[in-house]
Amino acid sequence: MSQTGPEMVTLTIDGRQVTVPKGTPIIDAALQLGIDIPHYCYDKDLSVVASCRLCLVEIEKVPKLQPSCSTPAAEGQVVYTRSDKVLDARRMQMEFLLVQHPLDCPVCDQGGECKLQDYSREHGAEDTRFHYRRRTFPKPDIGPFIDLERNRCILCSRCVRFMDEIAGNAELVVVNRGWKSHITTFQDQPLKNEFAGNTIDLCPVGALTSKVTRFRTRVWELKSKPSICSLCSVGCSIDLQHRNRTREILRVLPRLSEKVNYRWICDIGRFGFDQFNSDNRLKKPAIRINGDLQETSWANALGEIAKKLKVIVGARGGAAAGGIIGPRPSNETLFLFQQFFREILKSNNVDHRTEFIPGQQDDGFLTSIALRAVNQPFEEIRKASAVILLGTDLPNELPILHLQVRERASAGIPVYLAHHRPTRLDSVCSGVWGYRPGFETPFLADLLKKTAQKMESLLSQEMEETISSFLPGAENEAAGVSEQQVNELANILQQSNGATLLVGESMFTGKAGPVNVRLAAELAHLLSSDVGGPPPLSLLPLHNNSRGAADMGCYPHRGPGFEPIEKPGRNTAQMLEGCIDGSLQALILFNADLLNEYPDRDLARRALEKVPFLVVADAYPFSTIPYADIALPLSTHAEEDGTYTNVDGRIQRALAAVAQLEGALTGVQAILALGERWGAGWRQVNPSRIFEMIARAVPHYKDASWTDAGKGRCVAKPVNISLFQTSLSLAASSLASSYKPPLPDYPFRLVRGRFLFDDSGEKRFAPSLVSRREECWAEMHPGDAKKIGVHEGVMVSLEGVLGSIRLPARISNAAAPGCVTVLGRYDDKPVNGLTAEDQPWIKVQL
Amino acid sequence: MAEETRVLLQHIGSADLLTVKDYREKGGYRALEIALKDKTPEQIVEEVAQSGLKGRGGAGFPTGMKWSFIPKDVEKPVYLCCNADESEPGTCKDRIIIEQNPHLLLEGILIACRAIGSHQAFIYIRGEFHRGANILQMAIEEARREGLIGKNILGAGFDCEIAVYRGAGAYICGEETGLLTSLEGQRGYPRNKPPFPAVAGLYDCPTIINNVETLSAVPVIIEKGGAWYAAYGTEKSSGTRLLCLSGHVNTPGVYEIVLGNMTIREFIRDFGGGVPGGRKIKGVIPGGSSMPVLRDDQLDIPLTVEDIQKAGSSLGSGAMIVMDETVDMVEIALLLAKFYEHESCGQCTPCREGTHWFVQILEAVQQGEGRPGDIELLLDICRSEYTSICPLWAAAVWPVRAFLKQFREEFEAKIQPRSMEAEAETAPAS
Ligand SMILES: Cc1cc2nc3c(=O)[nH]c(=O)nc-3n(C[C@H](O)[C@H](O)[C@H](O)COP(=O)(O)O)c2cc1C
Ligand code: SF4
Ligand code: SF4
Ligand code: SF4
Ligand code: FES
Repeated sequence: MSQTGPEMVTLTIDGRQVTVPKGTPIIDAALQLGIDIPHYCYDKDLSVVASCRLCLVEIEKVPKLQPSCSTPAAEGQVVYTRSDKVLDARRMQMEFLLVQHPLDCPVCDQGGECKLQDYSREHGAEDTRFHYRRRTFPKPDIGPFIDLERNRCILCSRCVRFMDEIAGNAELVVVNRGWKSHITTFQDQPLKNEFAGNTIDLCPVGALTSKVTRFRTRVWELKSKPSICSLCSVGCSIDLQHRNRTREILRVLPRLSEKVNYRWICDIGRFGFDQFNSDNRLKKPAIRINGDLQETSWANALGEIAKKLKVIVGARGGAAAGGIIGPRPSNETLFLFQQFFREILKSNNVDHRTEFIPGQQDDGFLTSIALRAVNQPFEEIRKASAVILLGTDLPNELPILHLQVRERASAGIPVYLAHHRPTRLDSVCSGVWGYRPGFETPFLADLLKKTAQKMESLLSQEMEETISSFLPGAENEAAGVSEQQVNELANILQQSNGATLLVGESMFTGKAGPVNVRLAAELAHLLSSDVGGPPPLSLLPLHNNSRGAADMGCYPHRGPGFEPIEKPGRNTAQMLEGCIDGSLQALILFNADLLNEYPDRDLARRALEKVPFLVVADAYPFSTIPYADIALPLSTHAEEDGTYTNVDGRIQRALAAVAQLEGALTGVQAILALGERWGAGWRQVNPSRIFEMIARAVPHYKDASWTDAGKGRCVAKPVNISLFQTSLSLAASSLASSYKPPLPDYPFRLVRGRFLFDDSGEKRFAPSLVSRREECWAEMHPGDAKKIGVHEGVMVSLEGVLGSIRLPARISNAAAPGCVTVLGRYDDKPVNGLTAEDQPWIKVQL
Repeated sequence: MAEETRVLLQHIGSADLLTVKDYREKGGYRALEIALKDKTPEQIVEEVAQSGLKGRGGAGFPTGMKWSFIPKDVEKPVYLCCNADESEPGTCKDRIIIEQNPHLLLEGILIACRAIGSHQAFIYIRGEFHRGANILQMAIEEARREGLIGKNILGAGFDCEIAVYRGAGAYICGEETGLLTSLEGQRGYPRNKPPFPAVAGLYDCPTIINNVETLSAVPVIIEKGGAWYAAYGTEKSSGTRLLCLSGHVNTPGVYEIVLGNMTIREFIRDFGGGVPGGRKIKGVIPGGSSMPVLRDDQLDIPLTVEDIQKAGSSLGSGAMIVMDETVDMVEIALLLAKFYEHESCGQCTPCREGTHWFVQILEAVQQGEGRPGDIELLLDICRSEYTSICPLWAAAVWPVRAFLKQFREEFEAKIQPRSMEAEAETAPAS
């Protein structure tokens, strides 16, 4: 590739010269001179339609005015943006746009940041020359998030183009023609796409506004604080906006972040802010007296916790106490939490893995660290020659990563996807492969084997043996992908030098996680041009601080920076067992929605019931609260200053946007105050000091600073892998049972997955997200449905060895035969209460 | 008395021309043979350029020159689109060729494809032309069976396909770039130019768009030579033209004539058989509804492209609409404004809003509710004629401006209805 830059051209705009790359539209060249040519339809990220005609400029030697958005800058061009002719045309276009406009600024939420207002003041006429009845359109309902007021629309078509070109779902369209043209949704259905909210930002006028913010404020009353979205591991940069002098958050806007979300966010992040305003909060500490939770003071609650813990630890040692913290709070909270257990209680019973039962202490994610996986999906896809997605349903898991992969696909980068069910990304993929749910390992093993053969690469003896133990044979069933299909994918992989692999939760979590990660890493090595370099492999953990929780050492066997712990404590599963068998006497649940997340709900419930002393700390009344002996009200994400590490290892700081709810403490404050009861000497400590402690304790955070994290500039360095033993213990035999046919009485495999519009976690405390929620359903193959006489929409009962629930059936050709898929996590539909992890079998009855 | 010079319409009416056999009997497909076997593509372009043939779709662009804009040695496919959308009010000439001599058009298309290096042509036909679309379809199928379309045409090693695509009833899809977006399956939104279709047209490939009549003139030019064709008419109005005469005439119809032999008035008299009831002419739109109207006292000029242009109008698509003294010119202006309001695609600001605003003002004026200053306002709106994406907005502006200029007193009279005199003057005569 030649290194010469683009050809440059020099032109003159309003008497000043500017040099730009050939092909730059005049409107952008002018901007470089600080000349802002009024425009509506032009947006640099959308295709150019040049339809609003506001940006017309005069070009010497060209008879007609030309749109500056669609006319490329040319050498020697002489452009006028404010000649009489231009100003006259601009005034005329403004008049045209206003003839039908309702001029309802007083009741329009766009007022104050409206381009129609701005340009009218600058370029418009004083008065209208239009004396007739204004055009009006009926007002449609396009869903719970967005209000469409067609009478204000200037038909710039930015929203239409965004949906089609970027969101990939042409749900907004122009119908009719001429003066009757108007925007509507496809077949008048509510908008479904999860990026639709971005059209509000793109709409230059008040035609598309937020229903969630509607009529609650005027924009000039809003104050902005830079924050990081807390709803998934992408960690989008956002502005949290609240009304001056109140605690009410009223709007979330994307904040430009070149390396992560760019200028977009998803609708969950945009419209979920009412969780922060929810009245449904823990407001006061509570303590169980005579069987009832009763309000108490912080001093009393903390005193009581200290007293109990001191007794228990005094009598039985630190091992009798344990703590489970969700992968959500700030790094500072996570760090302090494990410090509290390790330093004060002398207990290593700490874990953040609330959703999966690790088969061995080093789970799939830690295996990836041990194998030096790059674990930077965003960075990787930007430079990779091909993107290979394994076991991930990105649209339901990581919205903005989905958007970026889509962008790569439209830029011509091939995207290949292997998953156990179709996803909405399939249509932009260059190849899609489906394997049977639960058969990730045999699929990967087969794929690795065939790819290695084609590339004539030798695998280690151990790898060969592991692979063959998973291949279909007398004992194991096949993965449901034909020989030919695997060969086809292997052929593609063989030619995909420079590709990157992104591996989703269904592959790297659970007992098979470590094996799958090993196989995927081996595959990644084969495709890497950097021999001996890190495998181009990234895992995709989902929670907003999954990465931080790992880095902070919220593991029973690894401390901050993955430092091995000499005497490992118990992991989540072992702690819960301990609660039941009495070996664990005290449990602290911190930001952990355990009953909804733990894969074996029954076990979790019994553990919470049984443990003699249970402390639950959270902002919201999750379903764990009724089991608590002491409940502590925490502040929300919006009330706390802290850092979070996203899926790319980017350490990003969110500022507190509003004052803390009276009565609640931040996680950091609560743990510090508790530590004081042991005289920990933490009085002077604040989040920035804790961050300094982290930077000292976690070697791969060494160069990060509190200030830089605020600017989004910190990325965790590669981990020192000498901390890991590299011996391969693939524990293949323990997995074999999953590939056997189901139990005779329970003929179906229950398959779970994520769903963006469910009510998991904090979502259920945001009314707007609840109104957008799609109800839980059970998806079945038509053949299976026919056998048991189930029709679309009929209620069926799903029964496993541990419990049953009733759900409406959805019949879909996309469903794998012999499987029932239930997506999402719903508080009232505890699908985690049916089966044990090793026995994912259920029966289905009418 | 002036007479028709039938070249394109030569056998129409007297012989059946629908089958390849019929057409061949009248000398059909001879030009194709010549074009494929005796001429290089460059020579075909040269011949057409020499003929002076200009686009018959309305804009009158020299056809040979247009063809020469196709970039040489392109790797992408080149397309030819035959514009059979024929929707300009008053225009009805293409239909006659399509329905009565379809092979003439096919032959012209094949020769044009050869000239520009295209192997795929599309005929974009207006949706209402059911009959025409069926006839073309049948003609194409027969021609394919006869080895005139498809692979190795006439054994000369040239491959070419022709497909018929039916529009869905939008005037704007006759505008060449609107036609292209529609053909691609999108809303018929015109595109900004540049890039011009010859460089980036259909599916972003080099594309030539020509009118039915334009393409139908090609075979005779190839057979008899560009010079032979150029010998007809004047230097700037060479060959024959199909003129569509409508409105207040006794014998409306499509007439093929040589330009320069008669005045406009003579044409209306000799071919239209004069105005019914011997009434006087008030105005004539010479070239399709968007062209500026001429007053009766401007009709004694030679009927040529250049003379009509000098008079401030254009021969456009060749549709001449005659209005007699009983016509209310405000009503006509309103009628035309309504047509453009209805047909604006709505994509760009001036046309979407301006066409509607025109109608509202003219409607008020027509109903006697005009306001002082309305004429000035209309004229002021007209000043934005060249700020739109495609020429439809200009096409909407021109008639409004022309009617205001030519018949201003009729508008003024309606705006001040309080004067008894004015009231009497504008009362409908019928
Ligand atoms: C609004 C509008 C409508 C048009 N409709 C037609 C039409 O129906 N048929 C046609 O041949 N040309 C029509 N044209 C002209 C075409 O844009 C184009 O100039 C023509 O098809 C080129 O062919 P020619 O060079 O053979 O004339 C229209 C132009 C405009 C602006
Ligand atoms: S709704 Fe807004 S963004 Fe969409 S076309 Fe109308 S003005 Fe433009
Ligand atoms: S993609 Fe994730 S981080 Fe970004 S806005 Fe959506 S939920 Fe929040
Ligand atoms: S001028 Fe009228 S018809 Fe042409 S693109 Fe603009 S709105 Fe559409
Ligand atoms: S911004 Fe250029 S025409 Fe709309």
